[in-house]
Amino acid sequence: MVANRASVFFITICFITAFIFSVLVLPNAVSFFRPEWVAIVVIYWVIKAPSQVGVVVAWTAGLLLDVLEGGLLGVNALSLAIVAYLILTMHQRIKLFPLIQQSFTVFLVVGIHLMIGHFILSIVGDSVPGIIYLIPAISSAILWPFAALFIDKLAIKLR
Amino acid sequence: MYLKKERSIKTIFVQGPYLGYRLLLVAVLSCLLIFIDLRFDYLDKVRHVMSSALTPIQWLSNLPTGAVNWVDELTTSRSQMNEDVDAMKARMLVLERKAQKFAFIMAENGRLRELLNASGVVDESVKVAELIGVSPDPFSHNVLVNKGQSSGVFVGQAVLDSNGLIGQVVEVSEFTCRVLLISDNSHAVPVQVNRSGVRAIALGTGTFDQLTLANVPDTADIEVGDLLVSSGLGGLFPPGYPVAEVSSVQHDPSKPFATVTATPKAQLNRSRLVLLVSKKINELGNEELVKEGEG
Repeated sequence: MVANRASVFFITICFITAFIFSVLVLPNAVSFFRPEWVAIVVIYWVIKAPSQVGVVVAWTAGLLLDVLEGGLLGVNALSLAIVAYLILTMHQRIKLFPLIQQSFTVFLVVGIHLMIGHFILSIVGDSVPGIIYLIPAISSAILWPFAALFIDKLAIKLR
Repeated sequence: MYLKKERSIKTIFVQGPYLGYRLLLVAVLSCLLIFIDLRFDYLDKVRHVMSSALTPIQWLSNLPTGAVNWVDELTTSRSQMNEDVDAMKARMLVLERKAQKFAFIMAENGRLRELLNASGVVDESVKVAELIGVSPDPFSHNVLVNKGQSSGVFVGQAVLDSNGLIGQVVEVSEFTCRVLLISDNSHAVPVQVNRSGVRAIALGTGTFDQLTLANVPDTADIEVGDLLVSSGLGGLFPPGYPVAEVSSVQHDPSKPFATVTATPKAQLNRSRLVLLVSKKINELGNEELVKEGEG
C-alpha cells in the first residue's frame, strides 16, 4: 500500500516532460505520428497512483495543454478527464495486464481521447476530414511499453 | 507510518463513490470553458496569464532546434562563411541602391498626394522577431514567436518575412505571441492583383504551398503568374505587401466561379526570422522607421 504513494515532485516532472515533448518542433510529416505524451503520462499515473492523480489532475493537465497548443480552451481538458475516468474505473485490472494488453488498452483509450477532441472541434466547425487524426493512437500504443518501463525504472532509481 | 496508512485507505474510498460526480463537474466546467472561449473574449486574460507562465516550457521545447542551429553555425567552414558574407554584402549594396531611390520616391509621392488632396500615407514600423515554436497540431498552421506584450505586440498585427505576408497575431502573452499563418484553414486575406487591380479574398487551404481565391468571377482579369498583394481593405493588413503568386486559373462552365489557386510568396514553413508590422502615423517619416527596424 505504501508503494501507492509517489512523490509529487516526480509526477510533476513527468508531466512537464510530457508537455515539452508535445510541443517539440517536429517536421510536418513526422508530427502526424506524434504520440499523445500527456495522455500517456495521465494513464500511467492513474494506474500507479490513483489516489493522487485522478480526474481533476488530468483535467488541469489538459487545460495547460490547451494553452500550450493554442487551441480552444477545455477540449483537451475534457477528453483527458474522461481518459482518467475510464482508467480509474478499471485501474485494478489494468495493473495486472501484460504489457501488450496494456498497450491495446492505451490504443483504445487514446483513440477515445482523440475522437472526443475531434468531435468537439467538428461541432465548432474546425475539424479535418478523414481519420488521419487517429494515427497518434497507434504511436501512443507502440510507445506505451517503453514509456511505462522507463518511468518504472526511474521511479525505482529515485526512491 | 500512521499517516501513510490513513492515506492508503483513502485511495480506496475517496476516489470511489464521488468519481462520477467529479467527472460530471469537470465535464460541465469544460463545456462552459469551450463555449465561453468560442463566443466571448472573457478568457483572453486567463489564457494570457497561463501562457505567460508556461513560456519556460516553450523555451525548453525549442532547445533542440536551437542546439542544432548552434552546432550548424559552429561547424560551418570559414570559406563558406566568407562566401555568405560576400553574398550578403552584394545584396545589401543592391538593396541600399533601391533604398536611396525609395526616399526620393516617397518624398515625391507625398508631394503628389498633397497636390491631389489625398490623405497622407500611413507609415509602418517593424520589429524583428524569431520563431520559437510551431503548432504541434499538423492540421492547424500557427507558430509561436519570441516577442510578446512586453515588446508591444498586439492581437491583429500583421507578420511578414523577407518575401511577403506570413500571417497575423492571434494571441499575445507576456513574452511570446502566436501567429496564425495565411495557409491555415480558417484564415483569409483581402488581396488585390497587382497588375489589374482586381480585388479578391485569398483563403488558406491547410497546405503550406497553396491558397485559393474565393468567388472570383469568370470574367475577372486574373492570369497565371500575377502577383497578389494585400489590399488593406479588411483594415487589418497594411496594403501593398506581396501575398502570393497565381499558380493556376481554371474556368469550369459548370461552376459559378473560376477556380484560382496561388502559391504564397513567404516561406511559410521555413522562415525563422519574421517582421511584426504595425501601422503608425508619424510625421518623422523614415528616420523612425529605420530606428525601430534595428530594435
